Order: sequence, then C-alpha cells, then structure tokens
Amino acid sequence: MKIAIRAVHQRLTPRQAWSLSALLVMLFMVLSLKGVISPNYLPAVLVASIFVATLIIALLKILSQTLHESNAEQQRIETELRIANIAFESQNGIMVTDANKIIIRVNQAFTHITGYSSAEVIGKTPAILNSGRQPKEFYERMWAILLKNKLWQGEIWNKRKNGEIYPEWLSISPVTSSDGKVTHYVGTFSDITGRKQMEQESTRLLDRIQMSMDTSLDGIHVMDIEGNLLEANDAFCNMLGYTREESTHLNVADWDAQWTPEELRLALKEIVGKSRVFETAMRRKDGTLIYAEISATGRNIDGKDYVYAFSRDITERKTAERQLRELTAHIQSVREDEKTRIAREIHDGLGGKLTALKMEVYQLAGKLAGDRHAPLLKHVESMAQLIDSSVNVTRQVISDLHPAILDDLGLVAALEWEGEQFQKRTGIACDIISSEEHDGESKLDKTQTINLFRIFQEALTNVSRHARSSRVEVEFLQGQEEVILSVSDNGRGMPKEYVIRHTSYGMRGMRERVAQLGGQIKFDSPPNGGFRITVILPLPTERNMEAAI
Amino acid sequence: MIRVLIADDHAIVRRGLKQIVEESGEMHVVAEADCGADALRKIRATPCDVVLLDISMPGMNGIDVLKQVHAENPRLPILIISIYPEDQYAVRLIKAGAAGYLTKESATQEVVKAIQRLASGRRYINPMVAEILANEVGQANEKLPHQTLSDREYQILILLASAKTVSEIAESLALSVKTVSTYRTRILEKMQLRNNAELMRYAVDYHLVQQLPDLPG
Repeated sequence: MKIAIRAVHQRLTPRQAWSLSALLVMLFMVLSLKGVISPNYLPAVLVASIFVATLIIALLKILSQTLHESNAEQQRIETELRIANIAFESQNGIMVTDANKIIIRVNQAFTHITGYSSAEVIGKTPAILNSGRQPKEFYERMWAILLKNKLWQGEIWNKRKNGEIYPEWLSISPVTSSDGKVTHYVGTFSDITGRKQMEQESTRLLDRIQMSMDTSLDGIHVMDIEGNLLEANDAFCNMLGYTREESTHLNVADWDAQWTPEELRLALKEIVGKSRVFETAMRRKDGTLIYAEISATGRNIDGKDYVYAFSRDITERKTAERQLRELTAHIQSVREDEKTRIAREIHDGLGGKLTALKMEVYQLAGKLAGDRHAPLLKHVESMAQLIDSSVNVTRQVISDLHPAILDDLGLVAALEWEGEQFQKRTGIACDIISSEEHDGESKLDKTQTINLFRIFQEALTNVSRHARSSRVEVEFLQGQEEVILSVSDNGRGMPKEYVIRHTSYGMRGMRERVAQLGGQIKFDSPPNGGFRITVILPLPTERNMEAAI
Repeated sequence: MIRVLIADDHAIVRRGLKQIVEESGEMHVVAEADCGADALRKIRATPCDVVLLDISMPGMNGIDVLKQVHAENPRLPILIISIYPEDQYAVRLIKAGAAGYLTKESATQEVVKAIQRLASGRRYINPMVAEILANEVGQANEKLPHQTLSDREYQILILLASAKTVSEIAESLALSVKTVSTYRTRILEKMQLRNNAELMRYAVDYHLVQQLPDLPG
C-alpha cells in the first residue's frame, strides 16, 4: 500500500487525477447502460461517482503532500550528516568528549597524528596525550578561558603513542544543549611540527644574519627608496657617530655630504634592480667628514623598493691618497723648477759664451783673410762650424729641459712650436686650432701652463707610438671659466682597457697632472674614429674660487 | 753714421756685437743695456736709429721691451737677436713689431747687413724667416669661417644649427653645460656671428645642415 501511495504520489499530477475521475464516471455510465445498474438510478450513480472520484483525488492529494514533506526533512538530515562526516574526517585531528571529558569519538586524522586508534582512546580522557611540558596552571587557565569565552585556542605540546612529543595548534569549544548545559566538548588540532621547525630555522638564520651584521667591520644599512634608514648595524652607527636609537630617524641626506638631496633621490631611484660601488663623503653627527666606499644594491621586495648598502670607511686611504698626490705634485713642481733653472743656467752660462766665441772666431777669420793664412783660415772656419753645432746642441738641451717659449710667448706659441717639431720629426700633420691669435694675457698660472704643456707632449708621444695616424688635431680653447685642450688623432683608436689598465705611465701621468689641477680628463673617440684626449681645467674665476673654499 | 743701441745681458756678447758693428765703419754704438728695464730706460733717453734686442734677459724680458717700445715709438726699428731658432719666435715677434730677427749664430755674419736695411726703413727678413712667413700665408688662404673650426667645434656648430639646446648637446657629447657654452661663445666669435639664429642661417647657406629647423614660437 505504501509503495502504491508513493507511486501515486510520485506519478499523480492534477491532469492525471482528473483523467482518473473521468474514467470512473464513464465506467458507471457503461455499467448502467449494460443494465447492471438500473437507468432509474443513473443520475444518482453519476453524482455518486463524481463524488467518489473527487474524494479519491482529495485523499490522494493529502497523502502525497504528507509524504513529500517527510521525505524532504529526511533528505536534509542525510545531507547534513554527510557534510558532518566529511568535515569530521578532515586533515585536522578531532576529538569529541562528553561533559565529563570522556572521549567518545575521534577521527582518522586524530589517529594519524597521535598514533592512537579510536578504540584505544574512547572511554579515556584527553590526559592520555599529556606531554608533561605544560604545568598544571596552564590547564587550569585553559579551562577557565574555555568556560568563559566558549572557546580556547593555543599552542600545546602533546605526546604521541610512540612517546614523541610534538607541538599542536588546538581549539576547544563546548557543545551546549538548548538549556545552556554543556553536553560535549569538541577539540580540533593540527600538528605544527613543520611550521615550528621552519620558525626555528628562520630564527636561527636571523640570528646568524644579526651576528654577521654585528661583527661586521663594514657598516651595513638598509634604506627605503626615499633614503629613510630602516636598519643599520653598530659599525654603521659608529661610523657616523650616532647611537642606534638616533639612527632610526636618519635619512641619507642627513649624512651624505657629497650630493644634494635631489641628486640622492635620483640616485636611489636609479639603483633599483642594480648594484653599484662608489665613493662618497659622509658627515658624522659631530660634523666631521669621512670618506666611505659604498657597495649598494637596490631590490624590489614584495612591491616595495629597498636599498642595501655596505660602507667602508676609507678616510685614511683618502688622506693618504691626497698626501701622495700633494707629494707627487710637489715633486713635479720641484722637478720643473729644477729643469727651468738648469735650462737658464745653460742658456746664460754656455749660450752667451758660445755666442761670444763665435763672434771672436768670426773676427779672427776676418783678420786672417788673404792667401797668406789660408791654412789657418781653414782651421778657423772649422772652429766656427764646431761652435755652431755646439750652439745647436745647447739649444736642443735647453728646449728639452724647459721650453723658454712657454715663458716668453705663452702656451699657444709653445703648443704650435711643439706641434711643428712633432710634424718634422714624425711626418704626422699637426694642426693647432686655438682662440689665441694674439699672444694675449693668459689666465693660466705657471703650474697650469707647464702641466698642460707636458700633457700635450705626452699626448703627442702616445700618438706617435700607438696611433698609426696621419693627422693630429690639437684644440686649445680658453673660455671665461675653463680652458679646454684636446688632442685627437685619426689613427686606429685605443681600446678602452688600455687607458683603464693603468699600465701606461704616460696616461697615468696625464690623469695625475689633471687631478692635481682640479680638472677633468676624458678619453674618447672623435666622430670620425681615432682617439681623443680632452683636458678641461677650471680657471680661477670668483665662482670657482668660492667653490674651492 | 747709424746710431745703434745694444741690449743683451751678456757683456761678452755686447762686446762682440759692438766690435762687429763698429768695424763696419758706418755705424756706432750709442748705448748698451744689460737687462730689460735698463734697455727701456736707455731707449727712451738715447736717440738711436736701430735697437739690437736680446729676447731672453733677466727681469723684464725682451718681448715685453719690444711691445713697450713698439707701442711708444712704432717707427723705431728693432732687430731681435736670439739664441732660439727662427721657427720658435721670428714670426710672432715680427707680428709684435720687430723689424727683423736674427739668431745669435747668424748675427755675426748678418748683423751689419740687417742694421743697414732697418736703418733705411725696411725690414730684414732672412730666407729662413721668409719661408716660415710664406708657409703661414699659404695656410691661411681664403678659408671659409667654418673650415677654421676644430672637429669638435664643427660638431657643436652642426648641433647648434639643428636647434639643439646647450644642455642637449652637453649630454650627447658627455661634456658639461659650461664647456659647451665655452665652445659656443668661441664658435660665434670665430665665425663672427652674433647669435644662434645667425649661426643657423649660416649653416643653411653653406649647406652644412639640410634645412632650417622649425623654431618654437
């Protein structure tokens, strides 16, 4: 019957119900027509059959409704149970106790984590898992919180069946009945051994990094892209004379003494994704200046830019370098002075006497004129030639020591003359292009003049030795604030390493001379190939003087 | 008689020169000076027709004396006598007002002839000096202004003519703005132009650049 009703319930639609009642009416009509039912009762039978059909339909409808409702409820409960079961068998260990903390159910993850099967723990209390690592007070506090907040969460050390103690993250909550009485407790936990290990490892790693930073003699600091100091080691703080606390408010502009804040801002931006090593000047808290060599790297970490920098105090090296430079400059100037003095002495002592000697000999020759003294005259003429060649040698020596033309006619004349000599000697055409047509007032002092001349000589020497060129163009330009001397050839050029390698004393000498004079030297290739040396020296203008101070 | 004044810091050279000069019979030495300042003083005080001047003397050197004397009395002929060869000094000193240049070795043979020429109001140019002068004239023959520029000056001229700013040029040539400005001043000066507009016009006229760039504004 139940099956039939269910079938009815499942199959009977209103249209079918009406069809059924129509069938019943027709059945009664057929029965009456056959004489089974007297035609006199036909109207009554018709009404009765309609009534019965209606009754059946109503009955079926009610039945169907009831069945439908009870079935939905059952489905809902089944679904919920399925969900609960799936949830119960999750990755987390779950244990359910009754109000007396007697374990009544555990899941598979529980067994997996603790090593106990459900049979082994059901009926026991969770104390079976106690590692003894937490004191009694810990558990008292735990229960107090649990009852008050209806939840306890925390890290706890428990013991597996095999005796291994492990950390877990545990949440406990009570289940209460509708009248508020606790009926069960549910504990959910996860094994956090792996996480703990990672934490410990990263702590150890951080410790090691911290130790490296603390023991480093080099300053180490980290900045954000605005140059704000985020972290610095002791060496860095000590280098600048700040305490650790003071250092936390610093910005790179507070200690860098070489660049303007704007330049620093650009430099920081520029360094992201790159590494650079450079030297800079730093201002200590007490105002004194130190020099540092910095190795900096810019990195983007999680969308933010950071600059990591290692700094080494190179003040001593810098000071030594400066002293060495001063010493070199001094030696060079002494050497030039000495050469000038010797040149003058040769000129005054020997030159004058040779000239006088030549005149004497000339006069002697005049007096010996005539056939009588012909053999003597020959001797005298030979003497005159010897004197001429001696004068030539003397002149050469003097010029090599110190070109008098430099003092007498100035740098341009000296450059032109040296260029002509070079052209004669090597066959390489040498064009001097200069602004100074008149031997006008040069703004260059003696040291600058002689140094530029020596650089020029060195540059020409390089051309004749290495360049294999056919033409040298020399440009000398005297502006308001600086002078520019450039020597370019049309030769094979010079590989850049050649200059940087510092094996050439000539190149090094040029760099050194320029550095002493506070100028710049550049090596490059002119547009049509070859090699070019450009020297730019500042002139003593008011502005440059101020800058020097 | 030609009146000669000798300025040389070596007494022995002065004596030699004096002897040669006076032995000629047509000239005599009216004064001698042993340094630049002395020379200037004596030239002012002593009327003379020709001055023999050594260029390297202690204190005020011969070149400064030459310029000073030439400025005060441009008609007084000065014969430079120097230990240095002609190629170093001759042309420059002739430009600065000297009427002749002799090296000390050639002085013995040529000084009398040179003084005679100078006294007659002409210059004394010996073959050596003549050759140097000729070379110089040859070099300077009718070059166009932009052909006198150095490679870098020319490069900057072209950039300026292409309406590049000084800072743009500085960046592309790896020079400072100051240096490029120095070049610019010099280029304008050399080419006798007043401003960038004239420079651009020049560059177009001589086909150094294709066409006049569009100027802003």
